[in-house]
This record gives sequence, structure tokens and C-alpha cells, in this order.
Amino acid sequence: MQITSIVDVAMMVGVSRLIRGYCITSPVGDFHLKPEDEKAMRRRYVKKALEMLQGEGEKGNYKTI
Amino acid sequence: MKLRLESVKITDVRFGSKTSISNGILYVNKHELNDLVCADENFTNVNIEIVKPGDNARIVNVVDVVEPRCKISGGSDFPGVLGKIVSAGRGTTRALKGMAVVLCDRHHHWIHSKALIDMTGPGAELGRYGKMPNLVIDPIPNGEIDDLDYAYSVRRAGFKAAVYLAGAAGADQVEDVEVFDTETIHPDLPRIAYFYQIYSPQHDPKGIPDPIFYGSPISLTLPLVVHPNEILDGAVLSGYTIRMMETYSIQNHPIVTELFRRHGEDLNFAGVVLGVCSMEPIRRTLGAVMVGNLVHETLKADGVIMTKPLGGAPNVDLGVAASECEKLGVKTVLLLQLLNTGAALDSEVLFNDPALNAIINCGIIFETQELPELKKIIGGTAETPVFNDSCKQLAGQPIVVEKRFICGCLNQLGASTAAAVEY
Amino acid sequence: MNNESTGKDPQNQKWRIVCYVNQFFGQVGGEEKADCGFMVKQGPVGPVRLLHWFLEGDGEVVATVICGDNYIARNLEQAVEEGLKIIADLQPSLFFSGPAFNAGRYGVACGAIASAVQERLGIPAITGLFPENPGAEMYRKRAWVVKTGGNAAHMKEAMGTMAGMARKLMKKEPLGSPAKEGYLPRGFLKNEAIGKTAAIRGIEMLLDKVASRPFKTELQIPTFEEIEPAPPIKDIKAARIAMVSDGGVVPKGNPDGMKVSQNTVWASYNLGDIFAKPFQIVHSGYHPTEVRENLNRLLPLDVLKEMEAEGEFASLLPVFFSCSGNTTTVQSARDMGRGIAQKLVDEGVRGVILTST
Repeated sequence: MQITSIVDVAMMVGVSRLIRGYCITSPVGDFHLKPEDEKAMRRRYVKKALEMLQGEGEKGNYKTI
Repeated sequence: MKLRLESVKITDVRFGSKTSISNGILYVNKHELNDLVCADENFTNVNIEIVKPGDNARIVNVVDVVEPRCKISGGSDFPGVLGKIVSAGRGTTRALKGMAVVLCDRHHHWIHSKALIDMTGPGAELGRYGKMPNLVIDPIPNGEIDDLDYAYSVRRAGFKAAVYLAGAAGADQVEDVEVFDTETIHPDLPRIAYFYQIYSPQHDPKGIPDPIFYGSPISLTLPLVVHPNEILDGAVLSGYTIRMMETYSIQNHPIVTELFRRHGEDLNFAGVVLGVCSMEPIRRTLGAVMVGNLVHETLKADGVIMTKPLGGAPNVDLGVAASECEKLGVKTVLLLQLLNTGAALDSEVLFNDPALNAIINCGIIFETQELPELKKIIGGTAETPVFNDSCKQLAGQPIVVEKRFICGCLNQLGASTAAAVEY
Repeated sequence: MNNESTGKDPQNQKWRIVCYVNQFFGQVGGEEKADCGFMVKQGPVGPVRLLHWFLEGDGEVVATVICGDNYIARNLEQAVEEGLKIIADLQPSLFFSGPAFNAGRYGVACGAIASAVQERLGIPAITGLFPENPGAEMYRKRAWVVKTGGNAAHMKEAMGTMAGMARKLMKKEPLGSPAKEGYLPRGFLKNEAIGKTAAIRGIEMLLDKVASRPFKTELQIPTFEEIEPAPPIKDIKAARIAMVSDGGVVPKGNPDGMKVSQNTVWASYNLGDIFAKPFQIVHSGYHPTEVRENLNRLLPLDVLKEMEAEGEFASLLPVFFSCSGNTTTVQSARDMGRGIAQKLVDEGVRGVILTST
């Protein structure tokens, strides 16, 4: 599955398991947060990613955290 | 809002005892200009040189090119950068046409962002600045200075020089006057707007945004309406990375000037929306929806022509904004560049909304060009590195450069006739 | 021996030309003779006489190599090797195959043989194919493929264009764009000045679009192949997971020569090493400050290691796959993706987290 903030391109090419990343320069981490909060957020992304790998692929859509 | 642009044609530039213009020749008092530039404590000194078409010279470390202009009335010079913040685009501005001020920054190290100008050979053929006399300002840094601080000083020096030189022209020397005015509406002609994505924060050095709009940073701005006169009159300036949008090409903005020229002939120039590329998707969608509304509801445009800076992310962002416009019935044309020499013309656009069926090809930025060894290096030395992804090369050698680094060869605002052709 | 710089036989100063055609154009027979093997006939045979006539004065067709379409199609690689040897022995300085128009087997054979000649004998090799002939897409980047009509009614025109191109290539004259000269694009882009500025072309195109007048876009939007999503992982706790990223992370020194843009290189690197030792970002499309500060923001190793220890999945692959996804062509991305996917399959990976900047 893919984590990227440029979901438009990912959807255009047909990615079927997609999570919207935080931003271009930091897909899996909000650097404005305190380190432990940032890590907790990162864990939510990865947990969702693993969930999506266990589900059916769905094109043209993406999940947000 | 009316802007009166007075022009004086310059055919040659020379040093002289008094900064003045006579018979199309600009004489420059080097000491006076030197003092003006070195008033900035970031410089210990400055090299000021004049180059002319045909000179066996290469200017390196180019970070901006500026047309000499000064306000005669109705505003301040480069508001927010030199002068105080008042609206640009009103009153009278005087310009020296046919020459440019070239700024060199030897100090900051991100060499992706610097261009070169050759005054002879294939480089001069390809880049517009190789065909005109240039006054080159190449400051010497005063010790170790923060990259950004120094970069702003260099650009400010360029604007100061631009104002100083334009100030040499007297009212009686003005040869040409253009009045930029769209107040008369022609109801039988289509309303055409311009969406100008002027910036993307993706390359903000250390995350610090570039102050390119009235001297203020604009990284997180949502779309806004400005008057086209403001763009021509110094409200928008080139950013930290020169990237084919040097200030000269903004002052002479090809789309804005062409839309003005055709106002009343075959269109109404409906106005300009400025935008900034969004780094994350919620903002991108919000920005796009707003562009649609501003173009459709506020400017009441039938069609909008759209440009972007930099590379791929702004390409995506522009596409999303254009889709919103098309949904509201506003027809769009986008100006895009190709980003890979191994590409084909039908696979590299970063969106696939079928409504976006009118795209102009602004060239392939990575095509390489061989440039010969030139005798004189300005703005650097023969040992100044010139960017090439595959090898180390120095300014004093024969070099191979991507066309995006030949200043004035390619342009994202539509100034160039170059288009990518499949070979 | 040939004069190397012009390819002309010093005896009579003409280029030595060899042509390949199939059993039909070689006048051996029709479909019933498609299994015949290679044979060589002296001089130009059949339509090759036209080529000989077009190049009169400069070149001479010394031999026509003939082979059946089925013979080649049955084992392309082997047949090309066999044909190449026969052609090489004839010592040509210029080579033509076909034209094959829209004939599929013949077109692939023409393209394959011409490519082999061009690449391995180092002489200009020209063929002629209809753009939709499968051989066109396969070989246009490797041999000179003149664009032809759909069938042999276009023979004279095709031969004329092929001869014209040959002259320019042999005389080392500059070749214009594919559109101008009549050949298929070789797969790269060059800038050309095309008259009006982009600004003016854009405004004129917009006025046409607004007025519903016809216009022609200069760039097309892409179409992408449909790819079936992989089925869900049924037993995650038994699954091996891996990370892939196109953010351009490489060990300091960039040992595999990844490029900051237009990249085609991918590699795998040990996760422990990339986190413990100096690394660099080879990607000029984003500012790497945040990733440099904390690599987990691109490769979420910290949380994956925790979840692995907690048994959320069986194991994390100790290496990750890295490439730089800045201004890559669709084709390069596809090639890199396929290469990485194969390696992942070889390592028994069931699920991948791909992060992109």
C-alpha cells in the first residue's frame, strides 16, 4: 500500500490501497508535534496501513488519519 | 487602476563619469553604483562589469535578472523590498528597454538554483540575455554570512541598481509609452482571466519561505485576486531559486502583457488570481475550490490561462485547480513543462481529467546543451562548479548544461518559443 | 574492403547495401512458404529493386537476405543471431529490412533484425512499419523505423522515405525531427523553437476553446494500464512486511549512483545501517530537512519494529528498497517497480508499505 500526500497522482495511476500522507516533505510524521506525539501519530498511520493490506483494494479513494 | 509605462531604448552600456543616457547609450558611474550596492554590510565590495553581445564571456552564479525601472509617480520602488508597501500598478513607471541588470551570488551553495548567461556561441543563441548588453553585479561577501540573508542582499542590490539606472532617464528621453488599463469592458468579447501560481514552498531552504510578494512571504496563502498591473510593476519578484522565472520575465510578463494588448481586440482581460502550490491535500482541494470560485464568480471569466513554477508538485496542484474551473464551466489552458528527456508527449502530465484537454508545451527542462570554453568568467572564476548530475565540471571549461540553467532560454510564464519535440 | 568513413566501396565508391525481406517479398512463395529458413540471393529482389533505384549513384544492393515469417517467429532470438551472422558476412555498410507495413510477424522480425544490425554491426539499419505494428513500439528506439501506411500499396512512398533517411545518415547530415523526416520517435525529447511564444499560443488556444472552435492540445493527458489489486493478506501474523520508498534515501556516498532527477536506479539497503550510519537524500524535488532530522518520517522503522515485537505481523524485511521518484518517466517507474516487486516476491514478502514524498 502507499502513503503519500500527493494522492491525486496515486489515484490517477490506479493505486488501490492509499493513505494520505502528512505532507510532501514528511509523509509519516507531523513534525510540529512533540516527539512522543509524533510517534503515536506515526503508529496510527502504520496500523491503518497494515489494516488496509488485510482488506480489499479500492481504487479512486484514499484514507486519512 | 491605470499604469503608465514609459520606455527608453538602450542600445549600449558603458562606464562614464556621470550616470546618464545619451543617444541610446547608458553611461554608468561605477563608483557611485559601487557605493550604492556596498551600503549593505553583507558585502565588502562588489565587482561591477558590463558585457555585450558577442563578448567571449560567461556569467555564472546568476540568481536574478532585473530590468531597470523606477517609479516616477503613484507608488514606491519595488514596494516592500526597497520602498514602503504601497500598491504597485498605479501612476507612472519608467523603464530602460534593451538591457538588463544581472545578479550573481558566489556565496550560497545550492547550485541547482543558479543559472548562467553566455554572451557568445550557442548559449547566447538560446538565452535572451546573451543578446543584450548587461550590467553584472557580483558582490563579495563580508565573511561568513547566512545563505538566505546573503541571497536577499544580492537581490536587493539588483533592485537598487535597477532603480538607480532607470533614474538616469529624463522625461524628454522617453520614446514609447504604454498604458495598462482594463477599465473599459467590451460586452461582446470573451472574458479571459489568468491564474498565476507564483510559488511553491517545497524548496524553502530550512523551511523559510521566500518573500516574493510585496517583500512578504506567501507560502501558506490561499488564492487571492490581484490587479495585473501589480505584477508588471514590482509586486511579484523572482524567488530564491531562479528556475526559469527571473524578475525580468515577470516585469515583462508575456501573458499579462499579451492579455492587455488584446483587451478590447478579441478579449476582455478579466483579471488575475494568484496562487501558491499546496504541500498537502486538504489545502490543495480548498485552494482549488477557491480558484474556481474566484475565476468564475469574482472575475466572471469565460476562460482562464494558467501557469506554474518549479516542477511536478505544482503541476498536480495546477491540474486540481483547473479541474475546479472546468466544473464551473470556465475553459482552461495550462502551460506546462516536461520533466524527463526520455518521456513522450502523451505520458508525462500529472493529471488525467479529460476536461483538461488544452495544454501548451513549454519545453523539456533537462535537455542538455554543450557550451564551449569561454575566455572570461564573470560572477565567479574558472573553477566555479557548474551543475551537471553526471560529472564535475567547472565554469572555465567546455561544459554540458541542462537548458533550464541557461538563463532566458526556457520560461514557465510563456516567454519562450521553445517546445519539446519527440525525437 | 569498405571505406569506413563513407561506407563506400573504394572500387566503385558505392555503399554496400544488404536488405532483409520475408518469403513473400523475396519471391519464394506465400504463407505456405513461411517456414523456410534463411537464404541469400544476389542483388536486389522484388520490391528491393525500388530501393536500389532510389539509391542509384550512392549505393548498390549487393544481396537480399530472405527468411520465412514463421521460421523467425518460432524462435526470434535464435533466428536473429543466425540472420545477423549471414548479414555480417556480407559486409554491408547500410542495411534495410522490410518495409513490413502492418504485418505483425514480419514487422517484429524486421525490427529485431534491424536493431541487431544497428547495435552490433554499428551501421545504419532502417526499416519501415505502420505505427500500430507491434514491432514499431518494440524497436523504434533501437533501429530507424520509418512510418509507413498500412499495406503494400504504400511501398513506393515507404521506400522513398527509407532511402532519403539512409542518405542523410550515411552522409552524416543532420536529421530533422521524426515528424519532419517521417520516422517514429526514438524515445527522447528535444527543445525546438516553434514560432510563437507559449504565452501567445496559449491565449489563442484558449480563445478557440472558449468559442468552441477546434484546437489541438500540445500535450496529452496520460492513460494508465489497469492493474488488479493484490488480494488481501489473510493471515497478517504470519506475514512478512517490507518498506519501499521513492524519497531517494541512500547511504552516504550514493554507492549505486541514484540520480536526483530522471532516475532509473533502485537498490536495497539494510535498515539497521541506514538508521545508524550517515545517509543522504538523492532527490531534488523536496527539501529534506524533516527527513534528515528524523528518518522515521519517511521510513517508519520505529513503530514497525515495535509492532513486529508485539507480534502484529511475522517479520519486517531487514532491507528496504529505495529509489528516487523525481521526474521519473512512467516507463522507468514501471521498470523499477517490476524489479523491486520481483525481489520482494523472492524474499517472501506479503505486504509492502511504500512511502512517497
